[in-house]
Amino acid sequence: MELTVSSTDTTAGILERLGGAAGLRELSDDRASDCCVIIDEFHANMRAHVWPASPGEPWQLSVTAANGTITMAFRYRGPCFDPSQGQPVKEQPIEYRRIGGLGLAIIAELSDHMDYSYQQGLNTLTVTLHAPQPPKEDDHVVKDH
Amino acid sequence: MSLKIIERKTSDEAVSLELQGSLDSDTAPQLDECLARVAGPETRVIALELSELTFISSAGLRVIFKTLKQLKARGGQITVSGMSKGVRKVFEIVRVMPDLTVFASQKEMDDYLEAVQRRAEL
Repeated sequence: MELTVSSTDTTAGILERLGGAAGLRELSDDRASDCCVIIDEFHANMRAHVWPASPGEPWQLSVTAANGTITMAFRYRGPCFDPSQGQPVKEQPIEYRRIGGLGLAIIAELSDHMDYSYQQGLNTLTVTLHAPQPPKEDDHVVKDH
Repeated sequence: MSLKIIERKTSDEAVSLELQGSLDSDTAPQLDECLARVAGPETRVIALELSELTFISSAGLRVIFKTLKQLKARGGQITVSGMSKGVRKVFEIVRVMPDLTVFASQKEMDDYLEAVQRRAEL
């Protein structure tokens, strides 16, 4: 499934359009939550860092599901920036921490694999999540033999 | 998905909010505005019931971090209950769990808030 996202789209609107994507409907709740978080983090980064310099430039999202894996590819035109280099958050009391800068670390931690490329002005971030099918209710039934 | 905030119980000492929907880059300002309205200088505890929260991203965490910093500066705290597996995972990634008081259920959290209220009335 392919989507084009503009600066006026809300995260809720993006997720609603994705609602029908094959594979996403079958995800367990926590894996679906991970996908929603990653999409919102990417969209928020576009708003904060890309669109102020190049307003009107949309980004593309493609979602594919196969063999228990969800792959989300984010593409946008702009300066080269590799989001896969986000550092893990350090343990520190809240009093000494800065409030922002968590988005890339969250994307990295929720993903099972990230790949970034930059070609002819096009940034492509590909995020892969293992998404085993949640157990069906029947799986818990002990059958008499 | 939008965010619905239900103010379940409010006193001078404690504010209790139930969050339903998603706490993301579009809806986080809604929580920020709500907290600015309901939490005063006397507030020591902000209780968040999250069992109907489908996901939280860094924009929502920023609001919680900001509030937590303000509360801790005056000896207060944020308590949470009903975290789903996905929401808990995000809290763990940003390593904020040690700064939160976590309850397994809304009932446990309500009992705690009542105790806080009783202490305040003494």
